[in-house]
Amino acid sequence: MRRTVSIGSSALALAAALVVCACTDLLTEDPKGFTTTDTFYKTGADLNSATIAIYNSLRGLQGQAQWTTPELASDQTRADNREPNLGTSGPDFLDWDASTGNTGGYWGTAYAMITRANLVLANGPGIDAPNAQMKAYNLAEAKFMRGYAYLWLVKVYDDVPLLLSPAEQANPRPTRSPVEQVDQAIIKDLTEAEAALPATWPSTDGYGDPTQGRVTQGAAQMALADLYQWRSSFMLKNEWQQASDWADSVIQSGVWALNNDYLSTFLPKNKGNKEMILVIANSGVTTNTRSLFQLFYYPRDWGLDQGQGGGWGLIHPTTWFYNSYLPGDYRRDTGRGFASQGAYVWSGCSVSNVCPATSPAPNDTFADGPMPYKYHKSDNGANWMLNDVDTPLYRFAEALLMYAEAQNELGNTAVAVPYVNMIRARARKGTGAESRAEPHDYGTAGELMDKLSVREAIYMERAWELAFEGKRWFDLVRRDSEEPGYWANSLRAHDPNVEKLHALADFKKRFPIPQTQINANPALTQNPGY
Amino acid sequence: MIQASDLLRLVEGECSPAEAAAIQAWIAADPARGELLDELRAVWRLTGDLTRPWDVGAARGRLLRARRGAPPPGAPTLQLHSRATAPPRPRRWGTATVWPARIAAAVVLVVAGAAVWSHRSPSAPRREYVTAPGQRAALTLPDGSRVLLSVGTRLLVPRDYGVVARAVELEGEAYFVVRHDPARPFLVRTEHGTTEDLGTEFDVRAYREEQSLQVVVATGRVTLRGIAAADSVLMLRPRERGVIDSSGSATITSRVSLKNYLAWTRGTLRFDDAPLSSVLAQLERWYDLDIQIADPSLEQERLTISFTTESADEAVTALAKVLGVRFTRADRVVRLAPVITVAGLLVVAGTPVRLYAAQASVRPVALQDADPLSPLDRTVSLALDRVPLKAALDAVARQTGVRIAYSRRVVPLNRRVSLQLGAVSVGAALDTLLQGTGVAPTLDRTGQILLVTAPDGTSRSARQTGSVTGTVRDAGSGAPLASVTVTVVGTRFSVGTQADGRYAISGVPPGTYRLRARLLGYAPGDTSVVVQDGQETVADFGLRGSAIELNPVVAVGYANVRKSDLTGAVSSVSAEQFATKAAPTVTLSSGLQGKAAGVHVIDNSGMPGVGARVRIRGNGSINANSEPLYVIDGLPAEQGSNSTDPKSNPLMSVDPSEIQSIDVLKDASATAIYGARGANGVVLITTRRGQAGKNRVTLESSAGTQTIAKTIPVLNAQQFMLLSNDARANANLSKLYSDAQIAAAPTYDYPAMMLRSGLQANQTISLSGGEQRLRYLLSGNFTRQEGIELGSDFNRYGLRLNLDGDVSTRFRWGTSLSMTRVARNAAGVENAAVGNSANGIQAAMQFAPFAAPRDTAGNWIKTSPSTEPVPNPIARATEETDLNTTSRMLGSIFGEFDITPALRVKSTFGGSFQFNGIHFFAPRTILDGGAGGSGWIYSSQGRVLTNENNVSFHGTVGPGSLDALAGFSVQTTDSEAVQGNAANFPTDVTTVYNLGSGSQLSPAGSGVIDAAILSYLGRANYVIADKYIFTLTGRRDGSSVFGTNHKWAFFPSGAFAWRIGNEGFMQSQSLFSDLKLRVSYGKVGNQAVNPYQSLSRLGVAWYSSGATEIPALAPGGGMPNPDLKWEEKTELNVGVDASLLNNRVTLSLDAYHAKTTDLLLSVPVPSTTGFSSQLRNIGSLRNRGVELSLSTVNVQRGDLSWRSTLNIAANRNKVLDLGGQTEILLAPRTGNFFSPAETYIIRVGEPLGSIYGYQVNGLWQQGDQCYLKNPKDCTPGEYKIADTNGDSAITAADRVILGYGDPKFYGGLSNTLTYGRFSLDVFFSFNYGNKIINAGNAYGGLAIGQANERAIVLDRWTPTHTDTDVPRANAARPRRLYSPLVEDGSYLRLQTLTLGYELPPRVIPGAGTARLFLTGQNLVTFTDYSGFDPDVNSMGGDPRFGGIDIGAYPHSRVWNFGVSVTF
Repeated sequence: MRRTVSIGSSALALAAALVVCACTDLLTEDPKGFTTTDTFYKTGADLNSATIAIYNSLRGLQGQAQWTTPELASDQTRADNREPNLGTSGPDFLDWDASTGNTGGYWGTAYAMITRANLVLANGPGIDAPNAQMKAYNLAEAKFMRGYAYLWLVKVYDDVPLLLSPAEQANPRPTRSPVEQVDQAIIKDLTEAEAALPATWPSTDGYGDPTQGRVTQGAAQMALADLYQWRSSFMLKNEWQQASDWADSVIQSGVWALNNDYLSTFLPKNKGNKEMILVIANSGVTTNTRSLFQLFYYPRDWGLDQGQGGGWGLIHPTTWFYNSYLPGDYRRDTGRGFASQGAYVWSGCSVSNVCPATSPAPNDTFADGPMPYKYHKSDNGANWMLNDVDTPLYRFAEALLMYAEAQNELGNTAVAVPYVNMIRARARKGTGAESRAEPHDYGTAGELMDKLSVREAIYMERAWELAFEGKRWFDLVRRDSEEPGYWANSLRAHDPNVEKLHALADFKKRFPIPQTQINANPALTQNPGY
Repeated sequence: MIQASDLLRLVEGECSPAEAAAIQAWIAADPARGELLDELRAVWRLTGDLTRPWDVGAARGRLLRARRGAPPPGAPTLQLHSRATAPPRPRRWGTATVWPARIAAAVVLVVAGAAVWSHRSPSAPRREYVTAPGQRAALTLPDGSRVLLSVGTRLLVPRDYGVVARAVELEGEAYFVVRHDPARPFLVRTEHGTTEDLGTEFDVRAYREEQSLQVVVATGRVTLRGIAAADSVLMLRPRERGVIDSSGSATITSRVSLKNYLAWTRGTLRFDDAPLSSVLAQLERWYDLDIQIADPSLEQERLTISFTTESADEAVTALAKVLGVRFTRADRVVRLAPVITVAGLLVVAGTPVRLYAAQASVRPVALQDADPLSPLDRTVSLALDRVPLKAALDAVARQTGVRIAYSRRVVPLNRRVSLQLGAVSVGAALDTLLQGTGVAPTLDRTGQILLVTAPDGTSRSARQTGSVTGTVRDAGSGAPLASVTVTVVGTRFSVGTQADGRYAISGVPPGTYRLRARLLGYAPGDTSVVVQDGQETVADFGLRGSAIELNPVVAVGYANVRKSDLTGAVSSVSAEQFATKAAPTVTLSSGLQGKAAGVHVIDNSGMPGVGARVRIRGNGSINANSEPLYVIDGLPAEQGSNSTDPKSNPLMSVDPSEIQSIDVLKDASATAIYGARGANGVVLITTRRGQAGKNRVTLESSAGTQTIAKTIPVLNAQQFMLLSNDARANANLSKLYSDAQIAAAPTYDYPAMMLRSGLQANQTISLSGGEQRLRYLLSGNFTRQEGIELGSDFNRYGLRLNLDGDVSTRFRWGTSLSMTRVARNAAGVENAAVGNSANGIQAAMQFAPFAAPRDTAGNWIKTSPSTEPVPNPIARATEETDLNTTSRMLGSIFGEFDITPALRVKSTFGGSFQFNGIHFFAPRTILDGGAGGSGWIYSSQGRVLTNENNVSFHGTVGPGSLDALAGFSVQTTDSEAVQGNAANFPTDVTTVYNLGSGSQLSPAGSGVIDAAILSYLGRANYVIADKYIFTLTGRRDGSSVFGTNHKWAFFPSGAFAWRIGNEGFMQSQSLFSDLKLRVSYGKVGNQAVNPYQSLSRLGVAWYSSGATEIPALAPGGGMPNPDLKWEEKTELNVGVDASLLNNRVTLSLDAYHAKTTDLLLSVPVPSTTGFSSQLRNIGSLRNRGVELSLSTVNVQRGDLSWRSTLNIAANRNKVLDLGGQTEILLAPRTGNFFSPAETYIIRVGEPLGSIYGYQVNGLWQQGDQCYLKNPKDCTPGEYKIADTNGDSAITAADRVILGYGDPKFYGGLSNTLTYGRFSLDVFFSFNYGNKIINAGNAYGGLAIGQANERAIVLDRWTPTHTDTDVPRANAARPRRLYSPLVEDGSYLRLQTLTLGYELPPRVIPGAGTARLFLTGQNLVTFTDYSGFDPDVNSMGGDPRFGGIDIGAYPHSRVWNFGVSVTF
């Protein structure tokens, strides 16, 4: 019995000991798998990392909603007729409202960029970074990113809340700031960034990372030209001179130039070429930095996603657009099969040898029309998940066309046309050494040289040159201010799909403020018509 | 030497074969011996109950022959004395060989009588035959009629007997066996009348002093005529008793007990409620006594008693005991004198009759005195409803053949009793009947049970004492039983057993006692003990459990209580209800379906090893896990909301056959002991444990096949191609198929190719036993289930070792250890999606039926050549590997020490170690594999360590008894995971085992989670007078996952129960056998928060530069919230437990109202804040409901029993607050395919699981008034969609709530029939009033024609077929959630049908019990649901979604045959 008692007592003592030692430390969370803000924004490397994180947010622009919505909504493209999901093909029919999500992507992407930029701009100045140059670059990058994000917001939604610090962002009920106020903030950010950013980056950023793809002075200049072009045409502000100046500063910088071969500009093997001023970088190494955006352009007839190669086959050129190219235009070259080097693909097998005519229906031909193929992955589409094609945001070609447009609008048509012809000349030279007849220089075939005719020529040149780069929708919208009805008429004439669901209404020129955002912040007003 | 007793045994059929052979040999040696045997048989026939034909004439002939010869050797010699020749001589019967002597006497008497008779024949003189007191005799009359004379009887046979008439005169009592002769009536003349018959057997009793004539007829008919001419003539039929009293008036009683009236012929006197005077007169005659009564109060006494003893002393002793008097005897003179009655002893106390439950099978009771069981041990079953105690006692006597003696004086015979007893011992039955009367049964030497005034224990206190100790065990399992009350019957000695079943009673005065052990839920056990001075007597009990456990022990977390002491709402499911006895259940959660009121189980699908959504009292949360907390052998094992994932479902690792019981804690009072984890209810699972005693080996094995329970026809090739063409034509698209193609197309039946019949097999072996100091249970199990779809199977094997040991009577320890591996392969069949992500049967139903699965070269066709490119399901199921494995080791060890008998401390250490793996591999031959195959491998390990320490007190405090518990616990959880995936391997051979060889590597991943909970808990249960029960429970939980501002939470609850049935005023009614009211109120929590959610987390944000990928850090996830805390549920519960109609009906009814506040909602925050959402404790919802469980014993008669259990529950859920939002739209996994994707809505004022879509009111028909702006929207044959907002256009704003995923009510009905060794269990489950989104029909019933559809679209609208619900074919029809896709999910299902057969003993050598069973599962489903099965829930445990069928794996119909053997 004595022994029993002692065992029992030991158990009791042990239990008591446990009670005592059961430390409340256990209740403090120590997340070993990640860090928290409490331990971040302390060093230069932290600041650089936080800056690169803004670029990560930029990736959102190539998301499905952000990328395919203006693409499909324009008169340049249409959705595949076999697309089963209205949610996917809807933008082609202008079938959206504040709740569908198709038009809301920019809001989230832009404010994510703004948030991360504001964190850098708020925390950065206080960080004692040994590498002062990099710190200055980081702050300038953040300013660029913030300005560029607001630029998207105003181009898509007009008035948006202008929030320039984490403190301002903490306000759960911000109202929409007038677009003019936002524009001025953009101008301030972009001009400050332009002043501080390097024209070209050193090969590494001082923290061991390569710098290809980091924003440059040229990117800031492009964004400023873009803003002034938008303000001048859409808002009729007549700030063409500023647009011209900023575009010209890109042209004159000597850093940027046209490649000889139009299509080589987009090839992954030519990343960082002198024509690509601003891109979303897709390494294609792993799924961490890839995008799916090019899948919308790859033929579905080559098999559907999931490792077989091929694409989702969503986006086709409209018939009008495919036929609008001048004869012989290199930018409309159409090839066969996955190995095609053309800008379009019309038939043939995919890399996994999925070929036509293997089944009674329906994919024995590219029945639904040619597919754009300028975003040509290194693996020709063997692996659907990985994409190493950078998504172009600003190219030198656009700088030339912006300058031309600004000069034309300023009345200097003669100054403008040669810049258009620089683009045409490259298209004529094909891969670089070809001698094609077309596209001929503007004005050499009796084209009218009046402002309106040249404007039309520049717009068409933009459509051909910047096809599937998400520009056309905004061109239609802004030109509609100059030529009321242009937007609707073009859509109606060029893309009959817009009439399918009877959704073509003028207010759709502006995207709706996402309903989810209005729900979360009732202080937001909706754009008219929605 | 063969004795007459041996012959008698032969006659009675009790000889062994060897003995019988010996007797036959003995008889063969001498014919006279054969005669003797014949006569023995004759007497047996005469005096016994047998109905063997008896040839009187032949017997007589043999007798005559025997007379001429020598008397049989060895026959006892006894003379018949007649008063005519010699004075009667009082004779004492011997005591040693009672029966043989008696029979021998009878035989000789017959022989001698015959001899006398033959001398006088043919002119026989008048003879007078007289028996002395205590003597009986038999004789044969000249006509062959036979007479058996009772004691003190005189029979006169006239000389002319038989010449004209056959008339005899009788005084006393005799039994006549009359030879039939219609010409010569047989008359028995007595003082008060004459009895006449025509060939019958009857008893005439006409003792002079009784002043009456009584005739009882055994067979045939007699007439009875009084002495006076005016007296009526009575006609008596068998089993009628006629009495003519001294006044000549006659009465007839029908259906009397022949056994009683004829008992004297067997040497027994029986009196049933007879006047004492008559008893005494007969005793005087039998024993030649002179009995005098010194107590006038005795004169009117009546009593029931029998005497078979041959000792007058013993007879008188028994009489005196039963009368509660003392007696003195001097030679023949006996005086009965009163004793002083102790006041109160005979008062019937106000305590209720205790009720004990019935045993399922009733052994037929053999009505033989030869029954080897002591009368008190015989088995009796009673179902009495407010009958007088006397009737109850008679019922016991009648059923068991025991004799019970009692008097009115001692036993309150008119007291009404109600009870339901099944197969309990007579002793137990009597104890129950006599409880509170102060009367105790005692056994006398002859096996008669005397009901006597209980001895008063206090009166012997001055004497020396001894003690009684022992152990009480479950007779079935051998498990020690705690809290058994062991009582020395008739004394105040009473004690409860400890956890090990041991008890000790000391200070008992020497003597012989009956000891009784009682435990609610068990039939009481009785044994008798002899206590001697200073000695310890050991008495062990084995109690038998009862099938209807009126008052079982229920686990409530950290302790067990008797159900009668429960104050909270707890449902219990016994092992029988879900283990192999009912049906082989592969996963436990499915087996719980319909078994407990308020527990709603919906299978996620029919896939092998799939989990189920388990909801206790509705959805209590929106975003947090709403699955109950599972506690396996005391260790909390939380289940994630993805119950289909073996990793997150601990139940998948439990073999149902290992389970002893499941208790479901439902209300806040019951669950508060689990504090922050109690809000979703708690399921306590107790596994079986070893019992001391004989080693037992149990084998259970079953196997069966599964086939699909329902098939859904799809279009054949031609039908599909025509549909496609039609649909495209109607959408202004070109046709895809030419007439020639259509005509030539073969049809491939993909659904049939996808399905198979699968094997299901379960094997379990368990060994248990041990001795008191160490008990063990070792079991192993193996389960294999092949799915009915290709590519799916489930395997589980496991081992369990449970040990219990006693170091001393005060210190105990035990361990539970189980190791299980679960492997589930679900290659391309797990229900997931529709459209181009479809797999399994859904993909098979969508696949173009004209395409062969392989091309001419033998390669798989990867996708369907239809507009919707469905992946080839046959290829995926055949080629892919998608293996989920989980290995778990769950172990705990506890030590328990009794500081004092009232105070106990217990400490438990437990650990759960878990290793999970996923292997996914798709070879290059199929779509997923891509160009070079792809594979990924995932591995994680988890560890949960628990330490619980508590102190419990059990004792008397103030007016009641207190059970209190206080404890501390700490639990830590760690898990880490790693994964890698790659593609493009050089070969498929290495599958996932050489990821490094892939040319395309994806980044590896890893993660870690740590969490901890510290808790203080306490509970007090206070019971006053077994009527008023109070419970207070509280738990304070500190959890690491909560925000820094709310680390600790306190959850109190209180409950009260009133056992009205124990109130005095309830004793006078008989409707309720038991009645209890319960009310509880309390607060519990849902821990809800995932680790780290409250923190301001930084996530990796990738960017690249060239081919360099750069990880950066940025705030990610939701907006941090340091205020994050538990969800809180406040619940009021009111319940009634009642037993009615003598426990034939038991019911529990509960109503509850629960409000959950501080609901965790991911509140969208403006993106301008930099976050998209923040998790906040905001919002509230309510669940209200009622639950009823009802058990009835419909039939309990002999071998046949039929019991039913019904449980039914209704829950109403309502969202009260969404933190300022009014509604939240939700897209389930169908998101990509419905447009808009959101098909569920959470809206304030509506329940969770509200289905949101477009109301369709039929189809547009030609000539309908179009209410839409665009006339195209009114095309005939299109859905006529309600324009609910009146804007003349169909937009997302026109969506309305189309129904609710929760049923209006649900439950289960089980019926158990047993007949002898057969048992039949029929179990139905049902669900009423819920809606299901048949998402499969979005691809199967909308006539869009982009993939193959179901045959229902053949009924589609065409201009010539307009009377239909199916719209016209239209390839451009948006795939919205139309109301026709929302179907009624009500069903009634014959869930299981089990036919069992208990093999007779010794069929399998050495087997204790053996059972064969045949089980069918999912046999019939009555439902309007058009999908495979309405018991479906593709969104798993997510509380936001109701039933939705996204191409779910169909349920199978299973037939299993099995055997269960215990050695």
